[in-house]
Formats: sequence, structure tokens, C-alpha cells
Amino acid sequence: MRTPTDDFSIHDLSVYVPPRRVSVERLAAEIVQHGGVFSGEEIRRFKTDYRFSHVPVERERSLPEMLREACHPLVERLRRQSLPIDRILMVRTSELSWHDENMLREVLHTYGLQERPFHAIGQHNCASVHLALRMARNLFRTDPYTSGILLVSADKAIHPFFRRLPDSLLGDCASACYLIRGRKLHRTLLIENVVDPTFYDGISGKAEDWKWFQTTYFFALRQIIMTTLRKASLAFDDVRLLIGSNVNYRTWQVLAEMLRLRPDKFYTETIAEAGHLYCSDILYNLQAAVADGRLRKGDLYLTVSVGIGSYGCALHQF
Amino acid sequence: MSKLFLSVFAAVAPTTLSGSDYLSSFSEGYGAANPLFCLFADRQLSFQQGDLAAGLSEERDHIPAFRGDFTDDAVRFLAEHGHGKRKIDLLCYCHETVGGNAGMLPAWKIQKRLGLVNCLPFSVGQQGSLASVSGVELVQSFFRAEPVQHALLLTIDHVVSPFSRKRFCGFAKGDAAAWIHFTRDEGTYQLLYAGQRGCCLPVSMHQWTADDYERAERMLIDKALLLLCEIRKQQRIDWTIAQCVSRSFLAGLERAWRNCDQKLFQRTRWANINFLGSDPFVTLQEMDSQITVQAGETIALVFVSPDHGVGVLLLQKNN
Repeated sequence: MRTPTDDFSIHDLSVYVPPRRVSVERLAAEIVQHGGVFSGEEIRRFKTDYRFSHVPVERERSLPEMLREACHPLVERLRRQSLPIDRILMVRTSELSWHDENMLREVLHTYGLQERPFHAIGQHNCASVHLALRMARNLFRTDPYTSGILLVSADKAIHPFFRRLPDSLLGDCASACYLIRGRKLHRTLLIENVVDPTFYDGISGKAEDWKWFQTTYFFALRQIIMTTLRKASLAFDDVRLLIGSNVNYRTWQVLAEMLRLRPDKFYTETIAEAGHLYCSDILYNLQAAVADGRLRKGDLYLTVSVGIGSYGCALHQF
Repeated sequence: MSKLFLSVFAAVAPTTLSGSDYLSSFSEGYGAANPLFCLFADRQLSFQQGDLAAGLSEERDHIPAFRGDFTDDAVRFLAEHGHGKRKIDLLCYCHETVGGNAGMLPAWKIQKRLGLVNCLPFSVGQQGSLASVSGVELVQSFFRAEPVQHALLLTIDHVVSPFSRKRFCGFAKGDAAAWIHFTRDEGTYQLLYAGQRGCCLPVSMHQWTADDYERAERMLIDKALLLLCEIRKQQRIDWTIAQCVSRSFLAGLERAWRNCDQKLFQRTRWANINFLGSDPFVTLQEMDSQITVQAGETIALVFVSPDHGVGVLLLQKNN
């Protein structure tokens, strides 16, 4: 395997998931109550084919408060270990926000991080997390004063309509992870990002563009995974697990068939109870996979994120 | 470290919004599922209708404002300047403002309409006017870390209601766009420095009083001065341009910088309008039309966000 010389690692992470979970049926009823559509057949498809059961819904906390909940345990641990935070990266799926509100104000003031350079990046939809990993890698490569980066994310659906995508259900979530230069807990070895800008209007795009997206979706996913493995000179047997976005179960089921892999090669255990957690899926699932014993020290694994028209893939070693 | 060159072009929105049209836009109705309406409702905030009290006159004031889809204007400008014909590796879209079309991705739309292939688009936003500086830092790191040859950074802002164009004593926010073409070998300027110093009050900006805004201004003046002085230890600064945030900010920074034997170039056209992330580039364009900056001279552009801090780009005029 090709070994790059400029490693960085995911050293630690923390995820805040609201305690309130709402069932697919309840969400469907809310959407219908607001004048939307969510038929009985669709409920069946979401539960049976896509394997959604409940999603977390935040009713009390604002996005800044969710970020605080995610950051606090992590930053406390970093302080105890005297690990520096030299830069802060934020990614979100949605760019809907107050023009110049500082969402991290409380975290910055609590931990004396106000002066840290900050970069808020996006427009890769839920694959923005892999864009952030690539940015972080570039910053580690080029700035000798950057040893540790705090990467944060938070999204919530502020209206029931925004919680449902044609084939997915979004759960509110905030996450924080600490990226560190060098070979630590989860080395990040390779990162790939792909965007097809045809889908700039997302689900509001032209019908023929949406049809094209549905046609090319699985092939684009397959392609980015194969490209990542090829660049690392690896085969699927060399990789223990593929940890993907919780976009829906069927995505990984079909992909497993296309790649002639066993379905359990993909980590899908959290889809039922967490839904699709925007850009935080990967971190949530990584934490869960380690807790479940699905990853052992030394294992190579892939993370794969999916947005409408955007894809990210990275190779890591535990 | 390899050099990075850039050429800058800025354009103020070609149409204007009268004070009365702007104020009356707040009385428009919004559907309950309108994303911006939901944003306000989620935080239990009412639309900001204090502009009249803040001094925006119905009759007198006209604010440059894009009409319709600003990305169409952007594509047209870029195509006229030949960017659709060039191989671009990176398209960085910087913005402070957000529109009502929550699902549309402007970076992708511009890439698609220009016909840019094998180009990585991304956005930098949600950090006020510092998005421009942040974007330049990230583009710079791409050039240093990856085999990028050409990059385009666009900064485009279009304030739509129910967001306000005015806060306390700040200048009214106007719409504008700027784009920067980065290459490794040629351009009007060389980039010598791009960096930020964050600062923010401990109070949520939704609860600010006029005193809080002025407190933020003073903090920004101090931070801007500190950052400029730090940069000056390593590199001479011949010209300085600061974002037109407010009269008091410009006066305060001008006074402090004069004490360091430096001066601020102040814009005369649209002098009372804050063009957000494009603002210093708009001033740079005016300066360029009035003053012959000699090759080798340096220009510091100061960007400011009351709730995020300050950022500086230091450019050197190329031969």
C-alpha cells in the first residue's frame, strides 16, 4: 500500500444527538398537517426498503446551542491532554443561517479560542464533511503552525418539509472532531471528492436532471469507492468496513450487490434509530462502529459520504 | 514557497433599490414553508424593521441591489471576461448573505453555466465578510498542497428581505460581486499574506444594543491595528484599504493607523455603502482608477465582520 508522508488523524470526536426521537409515521403526519405529501406507500417504503424507524428532532436548542453540546466534552478532553486547537473548520449541509452570526461564540469564549482562524465551508451537501477533511489535509501540509484542527458540524430541519428528501429522512445533530497532525487514532490516508454541478438546484431541479441523478447515483458511488481503492493499491479484502452516510439502507444494499460484497461490509446499524444526520453521519457511525467492535486496531476502512450530486470518500486506518 | 498571483475585478450591482421600496419589502407576506421565514421563526425573532429608526430614509437613500438571480449576472460578467474558456481547477464561492432558495448551490450553478469541467467547486460562508479572506487562505493552501494551476474566487452578496440591510450606525449593506483569478505565474498582484484574527462579543448579536455594536466596532479597530502592525514587521505596507463598515469604524481606524504614520485610502463612490465581502475590492478598483500604484508597492485590504473579527489580504503590485 502506498503510504503518504503527510498523515493526519481523527484523534477524538463527540456527537450530540437530541434525545427526542420521532417515528416515521409521526413525521409523515406532521408533513401532511403542513400541507405536504407523505403517503402510506411512502411510509412503507421508508420503513421497509430504507429501514428508517425514528429520527432525532431538536425542539429546544438552537444551532449554536447544539454546537456547544457537541464541542464541550471534546474540548474538555483536549484541554486535559494539553492538545492545541490552532484552527477551526465548520461544515454544514445547509447554508441557511444568519448573515454574520458567530455560531461558535459560546465555545470560543468558554475556551479562549476567539482568535483562532476559522473557515466555514460547504456546498457539497452532506458530502461536505469529506471536503473539510481535504481542506484540513491541505492546511496540515502547508501551515507548520497548524498542529490541531477542530472540525464542527451542526444541522437541524427548521420545518417538517425540510426533514424529508425524496429517499431519505434527516435527523438533527451536531458533531465535533479533533484532527491532529501525524499518526494517531484514526489515520486519514486518502481523500476523494466528486461533484456533478448539473444538480445545482437539488431536489427542485428539472425533472430530467433528477432522473439523470437517480440513474447515475449508484455508479457515481461505485466509482468514487473504486478510485480511492485504486489510488491506494488496495482491494476490498484489504478493507474491513465501509462506513457510509445514513442516506438510506437501500443505497448500501444495492452497492453491495454491484460490488459483489456481503451487505455487512457496509455499516448500516444506525439508520433505523438515527436517520441521516447530515454531515455528522460519518462521525456518528465511526463512533458506533468502534463501540460495536466492528473495527479493530490496525484495520483499514473507508468512509463514504453522499449528497445530491456530491460524493466523498476517504481511506483511514484505525 | 511558490508565489501566487492574482487579478481582481469588482462590480457593484447595476440596479438600485430605493429606500421606500426596501422598507416596503418587509411588509411582504411569506409562505410558512419559506426557508427564511422558518429561520426567523425557529429563533423566535421578528423581522428587522428598525431600519427607519436607524436612519435609512425612504426618499433619499438608494442602495445597489441585484434584481432577480444574481448568479445570472455573475455568469455573464465572468463569461465576458473569458473565464468560461479557461481551464479552472478550483471555484471558490464566498458569501455572507443567503437567499430564499435554500436548495440552490450557486458555486455549482456558476460552474455548470460557465462549462467548467474537472473543477472543484465549494463555498465559504457563515462567517460574515471574513468569508473572502477565509476563501483566499483556503485557495492558497490548495495551490501549495495540490497541483492547482488556475483558481477562481468569487465573492457575491445579495441581501434579501427579511434580512436587514442596516444595523445600528453601520453603513447600509449593498450588493456587489468580485472575482479573483489566481495563477502561479501571472497577475496584477502577488499575494503576500492572507490571515484572520477572530473576535466577538460574548453577547448574541440578536440581543445587541447600539452600545454593543459600538463596543464591537472598537474591538475590531484594535484587532485590525494589531494585525496590520504584525504584518508590517515582516513587510512594508504602502497603501491600506478598509471595509466600509461604518463611519466611526473608518474614522477610528484611520486615526489609529495615522499614528503609525500610515494612511487609509477611502472610497468616494458609494462611500456610505458596505459591500460586505466585496467591499475592499470595490475600493481597490476605485483606487486603481485614481492612483498609479507602482510595481512593488503593497496594498493591505482590511475585511471586517462585527461578530467574527478582522482579516487582511496583503497584495504587491506586479510588474
